[in-house]
Amino acid sequence: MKRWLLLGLLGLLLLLAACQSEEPSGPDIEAEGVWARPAVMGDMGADQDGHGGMGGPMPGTGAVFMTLQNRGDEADRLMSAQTDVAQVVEVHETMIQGDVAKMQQITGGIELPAGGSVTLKPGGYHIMLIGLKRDLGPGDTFNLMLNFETSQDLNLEVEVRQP
Amino acid sequence: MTKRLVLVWLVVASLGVLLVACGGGDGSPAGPTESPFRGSVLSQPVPAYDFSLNDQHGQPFRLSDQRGKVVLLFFGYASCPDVCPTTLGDWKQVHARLGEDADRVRFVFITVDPERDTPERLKQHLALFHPDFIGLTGSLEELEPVYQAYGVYYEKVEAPESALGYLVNHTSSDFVIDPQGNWRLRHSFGTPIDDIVHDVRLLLED
Repeated sequence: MKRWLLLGLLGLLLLLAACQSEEPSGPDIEAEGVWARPAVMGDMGADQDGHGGMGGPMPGTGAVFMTLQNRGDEADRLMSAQTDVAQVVEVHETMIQGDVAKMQQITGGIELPAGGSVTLKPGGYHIMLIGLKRDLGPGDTFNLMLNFETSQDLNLEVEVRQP
Repeated sequence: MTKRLVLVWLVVASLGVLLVACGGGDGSPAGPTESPFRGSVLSQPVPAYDFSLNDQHGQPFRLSDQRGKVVLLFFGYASCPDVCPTTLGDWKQVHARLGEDADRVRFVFITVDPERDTPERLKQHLALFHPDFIGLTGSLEELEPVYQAYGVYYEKVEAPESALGYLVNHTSSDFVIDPQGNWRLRHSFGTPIDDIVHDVRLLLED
């Protein structure tokens, strides 16, 4: 609880600090090098309960990678994303611990520090497409919309290619 | 059991790192005690545990039938969006770099998610990378002894907030078997393509 209070206070301070500067610009996010792996649709697309189960539908999955630059003077967070080509889009992270690959869903978003950049890349953060509605072949493109905590949505064109 | 094997592997891997660290720089001639390989080398080659599983086309695949060929094994799953396709993408490049020698190499992907990875699903998934790649699946009872023999760690992790329902944490390195059927090497996730090609070529020359 205390931590949240502190964070809140910090946030307020940051806001105040921002107000004092002459030109408050906030975060300014740009995406570069946006690409997705080729992927297949799967059998029937995702089932709404998630669990495939024995003989159940197998959602086709894909992953999108990119570098997000925050040229602004305020941090932001990548919270979620949407696309027409998949039923569900989630933010995931892979970690290699020892020799074991672990994947986890990021529910609190990815921090994009002011003046910094974060790269979503194989073996790290990725935007995961679940329940593909069509195959993603090399050379294909599709649209992806990124949602941030502060910044406006960002519409991207994603190119499908082999890494 | 699995944890012990993981420990053993950690020791082997650290020894490998030590070896690399103690060895000369790149390009220096290999000393008598230095491994010519770039992956982690098993101190004593062991006969690779033999198994027979069905491939993505429903055909039986027996490891001991692959004598004369180098076999690369990787354990993963088709819904895995990152580590597994990265490895398969690397393999595709290894295959291309090997040229005609690739005919003497088997690229074998064994599922750690038999519940979802039907032969059909593996077929679709592997077709994205190379038609020659082999995907093996079966019942957990058939697969478990293979995981055990190679010290493969896998853990189904419930992901209630994810549309996938569950994810599978798993060993991310490959297992390299020489043309005589001995398990010789491992490459950790992210090993450069060059190093894998180099090691496969050395084993083919054996």
